[in-house]
Amino acid sequence: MQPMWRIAFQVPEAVAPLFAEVVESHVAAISTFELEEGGMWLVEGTAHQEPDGTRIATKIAVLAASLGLPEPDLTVKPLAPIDWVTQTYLSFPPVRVGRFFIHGSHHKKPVPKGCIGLQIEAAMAFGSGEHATTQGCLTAIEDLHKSRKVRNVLDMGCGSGILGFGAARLWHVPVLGIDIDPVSIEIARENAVLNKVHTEVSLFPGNGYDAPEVGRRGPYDLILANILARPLARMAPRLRQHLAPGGTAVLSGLLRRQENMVEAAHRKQGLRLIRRYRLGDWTALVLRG
Amino acid sequence: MAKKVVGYIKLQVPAGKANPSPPIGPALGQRGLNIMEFVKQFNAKTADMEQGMPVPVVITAYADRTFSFVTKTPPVTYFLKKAAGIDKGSATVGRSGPVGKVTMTQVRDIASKKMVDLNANDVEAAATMIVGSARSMGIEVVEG
Repeated sequence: MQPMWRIAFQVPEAVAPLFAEVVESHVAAISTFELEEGGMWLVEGTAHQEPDGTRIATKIAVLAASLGLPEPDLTVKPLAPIDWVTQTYLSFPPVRVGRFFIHGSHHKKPVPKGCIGLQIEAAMAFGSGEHATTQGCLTAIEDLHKSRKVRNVLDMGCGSGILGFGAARLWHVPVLGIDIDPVSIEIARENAVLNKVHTEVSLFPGNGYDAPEVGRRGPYDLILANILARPLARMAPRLRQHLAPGGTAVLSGLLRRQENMVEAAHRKQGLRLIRRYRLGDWTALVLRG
Repeated sequence: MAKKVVGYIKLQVPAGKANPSPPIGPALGQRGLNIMEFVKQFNAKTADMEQGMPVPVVITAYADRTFSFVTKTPPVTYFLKKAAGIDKGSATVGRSGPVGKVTMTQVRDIASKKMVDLNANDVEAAATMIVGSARSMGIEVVEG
């Protein structure tokens, strides 16, 4: 197989698209990726033949100078021949969160004894099981299961469906999943069938609590919402409206520094904080109505 | 859910024929994205297009290595070469004769297909851009 070539250099996030544009014509694929939160971004190109390094270096030097930036350090190297499919599968090992064992279709071994298997592909719906926001929610759900009976669950912003599936597998009760992204709902429906929870879990596209199904099937004694801090705070009054008296809300997608904002918005609605789960920079809050 | 964007990948993929070979495999693999899932979803989304037609695609990668993608219309050069019945444009534009010919009807047809991705107010404005592209490739534009 003919070797591919890789070009790479680092620039600040705000100008990464500009640099990507000037080198795009030299490569078959161009990508810009965050290296660390709030830090530099990597501009990376993949080419079928050895790219003209001198020309690319000149182009990016000119652009950098015009933006008042130091000249980026360009590397041009052949790419080692790798079986990328196998490599990808190896990079998606099963994830274990408490009793939950989350794996892709490429994992052929049986689910370990005592674990609850969830088959989720890292595809076009958020919620692969890998992110701390998902893991915080799953941990909270499992802990809740030890002490609470739940009869009706809402997973608001369900993505791949992973949280609702977790709840369905623990309590064996009806779960409603809503997501504003219709593609996510399509994928979540496929996932529900794969995980044999399609009789318990109903999934609909819709705009948050305005989705007609939410009112039709509520109130809920457990609401799961792994969204982002600001929308969570904004949606607090609507969450309260659909939460059964004494019901529980598990909120995730917020950074540690956003805990107070989200908690305050819900306290205003009469919910009180029961517990917080911190994983890295992220927090999941458990609140009770 | 918490869809924090961590990167973008831009490349061209033949409609309905994505596979893990380069550039898809290395481009997605280096960034840890699920190659086979992209291949499956892309081929499903482009199944109704003319198979093999080059489709520019922009993939957005999220913090948990899930992704979404949008497809754009094929490049103007693809449509022009197809309309003119040639494999490639002229390497010596301005120094030799035209390598092919397209009619204004064909240009307007290309313009209407490209309208969604072009910064043009109407089809006539888009057609003017297409004429410019045709000339830069050594393709003659004739009435008809």
